[in-house]
Amino acid sequence: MIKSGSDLVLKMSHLHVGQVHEQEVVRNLSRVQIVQYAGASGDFNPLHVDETYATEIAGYPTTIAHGMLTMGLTGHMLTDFVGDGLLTSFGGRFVAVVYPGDTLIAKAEIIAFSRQNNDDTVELNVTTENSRGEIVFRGRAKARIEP
Amino acid sequence: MVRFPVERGAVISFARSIGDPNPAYYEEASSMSKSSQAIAPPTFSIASAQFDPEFPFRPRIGEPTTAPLATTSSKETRLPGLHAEQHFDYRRHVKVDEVLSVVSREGKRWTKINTRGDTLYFQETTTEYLDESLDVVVVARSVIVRVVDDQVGE
Repeated sequence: MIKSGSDLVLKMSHLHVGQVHEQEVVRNLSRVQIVQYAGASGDFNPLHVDETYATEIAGYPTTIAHGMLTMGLTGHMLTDFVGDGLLTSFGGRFVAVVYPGDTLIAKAEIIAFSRQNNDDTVELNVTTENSRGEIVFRGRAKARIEP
Repeated sequence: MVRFPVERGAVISFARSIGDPNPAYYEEASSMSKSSQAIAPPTFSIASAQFDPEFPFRPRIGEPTTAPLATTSSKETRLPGLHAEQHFDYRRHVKVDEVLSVVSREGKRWTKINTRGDTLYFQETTTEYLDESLDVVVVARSVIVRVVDDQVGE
């Protein structure tokens, strides 16, 4: 079920350390979506869009998704959780390759609350897994919340 | 410095490509969102590559898209790099219809040896996105890794 974002601001009083928000962000990733992302981002690295290049020159079993597509999909989960325009940081490492056909589940776990530039802030561990349970993206995010 | 207009159509196209139907990114957001102005998804600033004349993976009219990367004599650059890390710090969210200026600078470089004995070359780049008042909107830090294929001769 694809959800959409929200103007709602998370309230600290409704949150606790260890709380998890989890969301399927893509099911059976299509080559069309990878090409769609290439066009939208401007990144036509042939590893992502050219099967012959990916297999015969680069040595992959097929084309691979952009790491930034995985991060964009993960960002969808984050904004659904924390609300629109409230992230103050989001980053991480691309730790495994994503292929056409993959299904990805993105997860945010609350690890701390803090004050940042006079704003109440929630700190999140972020992971995205494929359907084989392999982590493909691992990172952190922070977002403003209400007291 | 690269001029990066945040066009409504580009933001909609980007939001569709990440499968996000959030109305805040679409035209109707101006009437549906408290922000009163459509905004861009949090990773949208990466699409400034569309306007970067030096971005290597933008197809160029009349030029082959893969051959230069595949036939270069340098082992380090024979294959295109992979994105190893990406980090964004947001001072505020990017708004549709604003024009950002993009300034990038190269950072640290380092190498590692992987379990196969290949050398991995890492390159960090920091990119600032500034608004028309030259206030920082987003700071992005990326790390690209290139894997040298030691099976291929010089």
